[in-house]
Amino acid sequence: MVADHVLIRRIGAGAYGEVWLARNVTGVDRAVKVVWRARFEHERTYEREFTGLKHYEPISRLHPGLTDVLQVGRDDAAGYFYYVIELADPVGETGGEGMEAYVPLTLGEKVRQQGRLPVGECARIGASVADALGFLHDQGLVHRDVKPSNIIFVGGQPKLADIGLVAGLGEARSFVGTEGYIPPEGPGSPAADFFGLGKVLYEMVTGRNRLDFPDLPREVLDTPDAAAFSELNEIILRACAPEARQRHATAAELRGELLLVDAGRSVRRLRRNARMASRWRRLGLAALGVGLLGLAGLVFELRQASEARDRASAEARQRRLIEEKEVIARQNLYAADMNLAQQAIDSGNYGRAEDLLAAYRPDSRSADLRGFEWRHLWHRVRGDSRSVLRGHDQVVTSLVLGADGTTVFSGSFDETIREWSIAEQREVRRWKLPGCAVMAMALDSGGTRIGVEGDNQLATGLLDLRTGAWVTHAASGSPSIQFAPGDQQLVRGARMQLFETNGVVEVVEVVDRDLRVLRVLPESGGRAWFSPDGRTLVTGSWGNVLKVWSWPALELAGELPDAGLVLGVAFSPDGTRVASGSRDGRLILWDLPGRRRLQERKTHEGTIVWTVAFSPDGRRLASGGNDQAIRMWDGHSLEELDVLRGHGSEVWAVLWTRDGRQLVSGGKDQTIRFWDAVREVPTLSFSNVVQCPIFSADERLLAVRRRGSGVTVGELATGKTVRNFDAVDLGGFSADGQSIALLREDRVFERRMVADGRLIEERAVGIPAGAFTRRLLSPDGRWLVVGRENGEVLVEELVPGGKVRRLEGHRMMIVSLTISPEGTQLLTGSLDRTARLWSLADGEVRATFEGHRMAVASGAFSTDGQRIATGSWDDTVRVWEVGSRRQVALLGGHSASVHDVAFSPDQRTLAVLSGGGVLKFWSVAAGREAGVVGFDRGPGLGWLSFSPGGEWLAVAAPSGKLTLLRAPRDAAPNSR
Amino acid sequence: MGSESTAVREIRQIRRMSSGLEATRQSLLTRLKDHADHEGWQRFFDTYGGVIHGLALKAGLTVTEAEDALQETLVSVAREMPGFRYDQAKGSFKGWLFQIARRRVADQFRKRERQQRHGSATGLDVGEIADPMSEALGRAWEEEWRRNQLQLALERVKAKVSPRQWQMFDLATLQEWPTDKICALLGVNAAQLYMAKMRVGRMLKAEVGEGGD
Repeated sequence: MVADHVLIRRIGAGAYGEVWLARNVTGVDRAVKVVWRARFEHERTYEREFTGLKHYEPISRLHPGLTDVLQVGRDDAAGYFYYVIELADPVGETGGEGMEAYVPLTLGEKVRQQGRLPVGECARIGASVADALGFLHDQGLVHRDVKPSNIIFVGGQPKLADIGLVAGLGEARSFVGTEGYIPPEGPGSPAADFFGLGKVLYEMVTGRNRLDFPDLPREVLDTPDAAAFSELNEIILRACAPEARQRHATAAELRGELLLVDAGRSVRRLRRNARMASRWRRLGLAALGVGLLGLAGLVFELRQASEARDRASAEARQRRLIEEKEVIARQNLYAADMNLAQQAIDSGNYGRAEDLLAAYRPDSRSADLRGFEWRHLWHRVRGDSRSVLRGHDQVVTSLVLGADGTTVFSGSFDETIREWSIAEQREVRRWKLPGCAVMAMALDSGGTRIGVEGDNQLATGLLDLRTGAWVTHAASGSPSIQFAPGDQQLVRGARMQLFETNGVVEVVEVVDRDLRVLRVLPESGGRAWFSPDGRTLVTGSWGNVLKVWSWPALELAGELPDAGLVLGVAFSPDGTRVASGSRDGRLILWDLPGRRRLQERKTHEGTIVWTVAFSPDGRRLASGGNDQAIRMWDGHSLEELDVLRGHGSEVWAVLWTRDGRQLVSGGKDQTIRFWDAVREVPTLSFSNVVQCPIFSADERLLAVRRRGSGVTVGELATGKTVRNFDAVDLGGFSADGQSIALLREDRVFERRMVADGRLIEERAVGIPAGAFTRRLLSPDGRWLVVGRENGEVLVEELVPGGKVRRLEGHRMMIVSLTISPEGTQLLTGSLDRTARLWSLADGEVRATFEGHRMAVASGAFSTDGQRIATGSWDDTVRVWEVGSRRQVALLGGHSASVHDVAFSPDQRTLAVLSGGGVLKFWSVAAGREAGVVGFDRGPGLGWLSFSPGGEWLAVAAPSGKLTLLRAPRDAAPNSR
Repeated sequence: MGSESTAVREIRQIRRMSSGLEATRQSLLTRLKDHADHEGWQRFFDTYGGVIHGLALKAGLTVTEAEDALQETLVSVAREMPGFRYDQAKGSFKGWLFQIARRRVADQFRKRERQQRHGSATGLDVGEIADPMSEALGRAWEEEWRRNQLQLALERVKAKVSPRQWQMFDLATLQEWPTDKICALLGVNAAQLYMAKMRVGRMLKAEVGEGGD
């Protein structure tokens, strides 16, 4: 009845058939499920079952967490089909030769026998199941019936069983899931599978019935792993949330959290929001230590178990297992954390991203797992700022430059003023101002006194920097203070709170311990700023108007209307322009003499603009806002030049160093940050890119071919275009980067000098003209390859006497051509769903890779040539081992056809660009996704290219727009 | 607050007992499989099964006998009212169901009596048991009915609130865990815990109020 198998005993029966214990010809025990046509009312449902099996069968063996379907057979005359699967481990001791007492070990059985399982074991089993679910989901399948009786153990490894297979023992097969495991919205989605897994975890860890959920048994309070239980409970509550959108978004996320628990780390802690970020930064190292201790604890625990066995070989095996397990756990954790970090950055939570990333900075105890994605994310979080100085433990509200320009003073709500050395980038002095949370500061012209407006006790104070004397005066409490020219008088705001406009500006004089109010400016708004020459005072912003006063006469000289609630004002050095930033997110540039509005921008994502500052030469303007960014503007046109990111929260104060080369900023994240005002950011940006961009070996140059405008070579460091070439195909740079290989429209190959465009080599192409679907000129200019619609590939060696060779094998259109890094092999992809590897020298096919379900549209070689990756219209990427021709990984989860794939030079990262412009990073070691970046959609093809040193990734989106992602090699932090 | 804390106290006691009627439920539903409105009977069992079972136990039957009495009661109800909608005419229904349940409990005592008579010479007459017990049984029925209403109210509240809210309420109010331990276990602060206690407690009070007989 079942080929090559002897059916021994029926071990289960279900609505549609039965399960048999069977032995194959080599004596291995298997389970065989037989499904009878007669048990179905309709032919259609029977066929649907069989079709489902056909879909599941090939993928069942691709994941260790799925029960392998080993054989499928069908007998229409007898009216049944069957399939052979792995046999679950037996419950208890082995059942002996005849397996008379065989009962399959399911998770349900396990819990029935052992009661509640330890938290670590639950997390590991859960992570394994989540992994298998993720794989199914990537294939567009859902399980629909996740429950303890559908999770079997094979060789100790938990596996998701085929629906109804093991559950066939006394249970009817169900298409609608099982009560208590299905969510309110019903089964059939990934989120519904997570809900089921959540309930499974609940049953495992509490020993209770899922219908009791979420009741917690009293015992957990008194168990030693109560803390870990608490973390697991957190995951369960999320997975079992009544609404699908509150549950985990992906299986990878669920799995990542479970692995964290297994590794002894806290999920709840990771979920905490940015408010805790700064406190965490200080605890960061300790947390890492705790994490390592957790792993060490696991190692210790397992090691003890192995010693108990008292057998040397077993111990060695165990230790190896532990080490492997630890490595895998770390790799998986890494991939999961990269995703979390990416999400944190996308949601603007830089502090959290920084914490996540910092945990992977290498130390002596653990291997460096970081790939391109880490360096890129780190660059996004920290790379913008030159250094981060910590010390304040409250909002940094104001900054002033020291009189000699070598130091910066910062004031904070933490009731201190600190002085920082610009050259050494460290704190040099500190003053405590008891009871006075600093809201605003001003330095007198001699640099000896700081005037302070405080919040807590509403004090105006004077700090003598020479003696440290701190004298407070009558209350005022406003966010504005200035020394008037001559330093005899102070101009301060009065009678207002942070976001009010109805305050007034007062001119006061300090007489001993008293403050004498000399003048009150009516309807002035409570904030004041002096022009550089001290002859003009601007106040704001009563009635949304900035008022311009003469000094010292204090006559109203004009108004700047509709300025908003202005929080920051800056004068250009020549005093002719005024920039204002307002609470409604507007940045306005005014012509002061003309009382005219020159430019206006709604910026900082429409949030608050707290502060503005002109560069010393007046050409640039910096602004800080609630979007956690510092934005750099052209001081005349107000064109946005750059965005500096890194602050974990609102930016309240920005100033320029005297040489105009650095910016200093402070804000709600309690840090002081230094930034290079002129960053070496290449502004290389191209549109209409129609071919894979090529870097020079020294990472100095980038060449792109654009629709209708030939090949352009740009310089990365400056962003300048070096030269344009008239060409229809781009090969690449010579090893020294001096020349470039091109193909001319008249089918002539040529090599030209990059510097002056001089022609140094020229050769007519032998491949006959005619339609082609793909053409590739090798980067070294030695090979020209053409792929045609009929599957034919023509290869020509571009040397004297070089021949044209025809490579035959593909049966359908060629859709991808890739040459190996050392230039000896060719990888072709075709509509016939195969990829072929050819030797360029003799035109022989070396390997054929079959497995994709649709056209193979892209290919990539690993740097060492040991592996290749292929991307397909079937939305997957497959990684193959060249030597064995084996598929070693299937990377799914791309929601559109894969346009291009590329290995990073260190081979740790595989970048995948798919239709819709979605770029995914895959951690090669973990085989998991480690970050996603979105680019423009478009009608064209997308391309990817890593620079040879791995510092850059050029992404040509399907829209044709080129973006450079940077991941500096020396991405080491300057300070913590 | 008075009635709320009474309800909570009662619920605490209820929760220490477990019903364990799953097998009975399955076998009963199999027996009633061909009856019209199968789903209705399932709901009927889920709503009143516990009351009848509890009555039978309080009357002095063993667990097995009580399950038999429960099954027979429901079969009787099914026989006497073929098109029966259990949620109609609540007040009189309660008394009517009690009468049926009481008779089926008595049946079990008779059965026991018959078996014992085979084994030993002593024994009580059925008539002797039934009447003296009726008053006590009536009280037991009231208790069970009340207990069941609370149980159902609890289930309704549980279905309405988020699992996390429920855990906070359950641990704090019903299981009476120390606050600091709950906060540590659930990663919440005392204020959140207090809010959950108040909120869910209020809901329970409302449910008991409207669900009470």
